[in-house]
Amino acid sequence: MKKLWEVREFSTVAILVFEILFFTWYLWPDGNRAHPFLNAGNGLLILKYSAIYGIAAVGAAIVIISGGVDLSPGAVMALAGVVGAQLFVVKGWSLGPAMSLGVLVGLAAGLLSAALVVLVKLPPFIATLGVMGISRGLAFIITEGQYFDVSTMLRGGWRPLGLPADWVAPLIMIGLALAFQILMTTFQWGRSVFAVGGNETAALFSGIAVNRVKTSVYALAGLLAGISGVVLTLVQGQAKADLANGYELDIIASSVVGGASLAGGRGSVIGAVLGTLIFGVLRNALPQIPGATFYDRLIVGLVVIVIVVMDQLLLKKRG
Amino acid sequence: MEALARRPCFTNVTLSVRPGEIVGLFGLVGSGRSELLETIFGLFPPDAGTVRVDGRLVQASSPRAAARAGIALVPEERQRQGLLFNLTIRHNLVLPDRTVKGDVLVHTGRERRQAQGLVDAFRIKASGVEIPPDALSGGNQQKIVVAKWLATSPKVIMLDEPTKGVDVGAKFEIHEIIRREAARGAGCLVASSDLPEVLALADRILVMREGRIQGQLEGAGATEESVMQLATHEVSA
Repeated sequence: MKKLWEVREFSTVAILVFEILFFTWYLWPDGNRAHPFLNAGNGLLILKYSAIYGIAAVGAAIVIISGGVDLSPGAVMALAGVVGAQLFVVKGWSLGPAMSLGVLVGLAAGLLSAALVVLVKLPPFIATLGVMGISRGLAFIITEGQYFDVSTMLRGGWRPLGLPADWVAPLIMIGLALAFQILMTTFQWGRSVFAVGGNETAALFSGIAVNRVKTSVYALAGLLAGISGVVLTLVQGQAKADLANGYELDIIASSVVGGASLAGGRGSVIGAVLGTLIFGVLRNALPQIPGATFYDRLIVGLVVIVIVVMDQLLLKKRG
Repeated sequence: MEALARRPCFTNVTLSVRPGEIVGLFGLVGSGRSELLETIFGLFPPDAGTVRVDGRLVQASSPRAAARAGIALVPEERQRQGLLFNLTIRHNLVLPDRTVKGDVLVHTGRERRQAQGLVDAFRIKASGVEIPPDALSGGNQQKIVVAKWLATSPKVIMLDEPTKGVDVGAKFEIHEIIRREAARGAGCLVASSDLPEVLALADRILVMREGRIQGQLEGAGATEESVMQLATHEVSA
């Protein structure tokens, strides 16, 4: 059995705990006022907004573990959200089918990436950069610059299965994270993903259907980005073409902070989701510190570098 | 195997390996040995020709399909083609067998027993099966690659330079393993540029030169001179 600190997620959790303790201490209110950071409502808020990144980060982590990279999730989220919202708001579809089709559009984008990587043999960076452009472009074409207001159509708010909407996004994220963690660790498929990422040639020589594994990985990443986009649309109550702009880099950063190696063959789904929580806490807490808002991006960038360097040093120590 | 060709690497190669037989495939570097084995293993589509196992046509479009048909390949470069250094020795040892069997789940307990059994049977010196194979010696790494394929009980075992860069002791052990597999009834095709190795192991020696089978010699009657003659010169007769 591995010792606790040898598990890669340990350092991610440690940083998350440290971060929460720091902001709890730093933002401690005077007198009897409620704590602005450490309260149930704010916790749920952090989870809700992290979930939008977290669901897509599950897919990003799988792609990175397989030795690839996906630059398209932000744009695919926008396309999925816009398609779902347009069907729901303009075409008068009911919510379920409209949003399901949005998710399927995400899957289609993932399959396009897969085809470009597996059949055309483009490097993943280029293939998904192209799909990113295509997806964002289609989102603009569909919306023609307008935005679809989902919230006014949802009288009484979105309450799937009778649950409050705020709970749904975190629950979807946690459910998917656990499901994919199990798929990656106890299924032959997951082991194949690690094998392909570790050494594609040796995986092929070991009888693994490398192309099939790669196809599944990009398709799933597209599907998960689609789910993310639909959830984002429902959480924000509106969809427009510049939805989730630039999210891809936060999503990739979360995966890396959570232990995924861009060289492939290393990482975890749970780590990636924990990574999104690290950034979720930062994005939530920094604006509450007077004057710190402008440092938001700078701090996020520094955190990525510090965590990855720390991981490299720890890895060397473990031998 | 009949008239297999993948131009320009090799053309019109016909060879057969009988159950229990060790066939040596000797050729200098660039003779097309590795390319021939990799084509039989489904890594590249042939331009012409067919592969049969037990008389049945093998549509080996991938190593996975070849492995399912009972063909195994121990590749030449164990670092690049043989081992996964991000996975443990256990995963490395059971991967081909579990893939061929079409497992859906990773059965950790069963795999650990299987891996430990292989480590014992092939006398792989490692401090455990749950560590990556990077700390092992070349000989022990090579034995992992051999063991992971023999775990699938293949009908045809192709080995490409099976003792390249391993110490004398491991070389001897690998030769014993090949003889044992032949005795079990597997057909062994050993490609090597190590002439003493080919002479020591093979019941029959095929000599390849510039992508063609240049000639065939019975293992018992072959000498270094007669093999080298075929490998380097045009056949006059």
